[in-house]
Amino acid sequence: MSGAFLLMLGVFVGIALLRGPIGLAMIAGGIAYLGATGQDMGLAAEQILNSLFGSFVLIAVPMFIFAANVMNAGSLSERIYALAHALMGRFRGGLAHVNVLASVIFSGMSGSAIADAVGPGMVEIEMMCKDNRYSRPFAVAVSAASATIGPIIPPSIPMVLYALVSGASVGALFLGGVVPGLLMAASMMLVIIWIARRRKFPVEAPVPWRDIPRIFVRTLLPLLMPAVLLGGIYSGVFTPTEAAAVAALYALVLALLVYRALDWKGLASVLAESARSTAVVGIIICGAFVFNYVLATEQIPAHVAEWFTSLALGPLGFLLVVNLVFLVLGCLLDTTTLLLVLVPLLLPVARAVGVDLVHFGVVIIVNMMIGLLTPPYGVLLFVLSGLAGTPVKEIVRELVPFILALIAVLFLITFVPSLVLALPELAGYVR
Amino acid sequence: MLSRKTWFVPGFRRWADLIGSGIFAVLFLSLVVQVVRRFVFGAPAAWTEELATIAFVWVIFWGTAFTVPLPTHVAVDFVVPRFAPSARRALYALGLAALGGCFLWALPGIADYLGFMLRERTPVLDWPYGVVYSIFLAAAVMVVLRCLAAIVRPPERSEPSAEA
Repeated sequence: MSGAFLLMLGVFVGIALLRGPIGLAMIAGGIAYLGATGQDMGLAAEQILNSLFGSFVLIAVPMFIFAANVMNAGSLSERIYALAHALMGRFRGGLAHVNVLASVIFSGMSGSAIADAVGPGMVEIEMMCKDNRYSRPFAVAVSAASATIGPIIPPSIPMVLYALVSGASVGALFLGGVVPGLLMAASMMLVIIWIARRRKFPVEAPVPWRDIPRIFVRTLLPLLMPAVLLGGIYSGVFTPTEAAAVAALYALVLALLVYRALDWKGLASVLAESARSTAVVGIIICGAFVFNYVLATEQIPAHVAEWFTSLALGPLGFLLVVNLVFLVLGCLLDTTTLLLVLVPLLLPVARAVGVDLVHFGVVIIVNMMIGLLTPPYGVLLFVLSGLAGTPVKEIVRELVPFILALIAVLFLITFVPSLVLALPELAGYVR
Repeated sequence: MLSRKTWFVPGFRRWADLIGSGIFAVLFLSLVVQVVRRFVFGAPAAWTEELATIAFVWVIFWGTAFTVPLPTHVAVDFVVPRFAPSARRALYALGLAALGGCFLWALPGIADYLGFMLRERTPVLDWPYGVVYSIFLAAAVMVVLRCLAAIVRPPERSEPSAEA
């Protein structure tokens, strides 16, 4: 490890800890490295711009952001909520179950946990808190926990980023997320059943069975979106990037022309918001490009691989160590940084110890979703605390059983790879 | 009467947002045209992928330069708030000075690289790379200016807006 590399780390960590933007801090660290090693500063621009230009798959990220924003602005969240309510509202603690089920349905259309939280998540919080039937911190905790399913059930923005760094197939990763996503939902529902009994949660008046077909028809078009999206990818008709654009177009047609829930002014605001969110995520990706260039120059991945190999852990031991490290780091860093900077360091080791890269990717992304819930850096906590006006401390208290349930699922999919790999194997992606 | 800053800043932001939206619309529409050309007309167009990629580059750096304030970016926000307000301001300013300083240091090298890339052209649209990439220089300059402005007038921290 050279002095210039330590300087880069110092600049990055220093700026980041002093509340500087993480993506820009990574670029600044890279600039300091280039300066200290006497290299051309234009290399930072070259690395970023050429890498962006050569990564067409990355364009799926803004398209998934756009699709989720259109769905949130175009009343699709409310329709999904109505269907989930008709199916699950009749059980004790029904609205909490509705919250989880609506997240599962929304997950099939959006690849972002934040979009899930601010869309259906907020609708569900308001419904749960009407007439004080549920405490606000509990409602926010359920919305936050269930939003983590968003990037596990396909489509998924983190999986697209992981595919970029690992070379794993986006299609295989998407399929690999289905069972873990459903397991996450089931584990949360078990927690809700347990809490509902202890706290004697209310039972909602059941929606008559004869009304359910009508509600289902109202939601049918949004429900077809996952079929369009995933059908297009798996039949080989679309690339993942094109599929993301088609999903956004489908959501736009529904919101603008079919449901007329979005006007042109609303569309302009959705476009502006999507452009800003793309810049926020994009600049972290750019920072990671520079950072990874330096890591490769310093041969850090090889050193990390050597160190892990010297531990002679085996696939399971390696995954357990990685899980523990990422559960801690998830409390401190955001998903994109972890995915684009730390994961590439571990990929050579994963390959060397014989861990399947699709299995590794899904495990690591489930782990990072738990990180969105854990303080001090839990993005879902900040976003929902701000929107719902509930202190983070109160949300965290209610979140504990959900986090434990998610950790249990994480270790289950770590120990039983077929839970992740069975569907990709069935589709012929993994052998 | 509105002060100069009061009328200028919201007007500028509105235009910057509008242009950002326009670039995003180009990104989206080029992908839609790509799909339509290939599956409806059976005649794939190579320019759509290149235009989408260029628009993607521009969306990121246009946003960084003009529409996303520094506090909106993803940041580690649990160290500085533990200090007293005056120390907080000083620490924040220190981080911004280092950030702005690094970008300022790199500006000549970036400009030099873009100047060199004016000679190279994109494969399909045949646009000079120096022009396509020029938005990166604008973003780097704006990062320096934004850091300076935030040191002089520290902004309020806003909600994180990253898509995870």
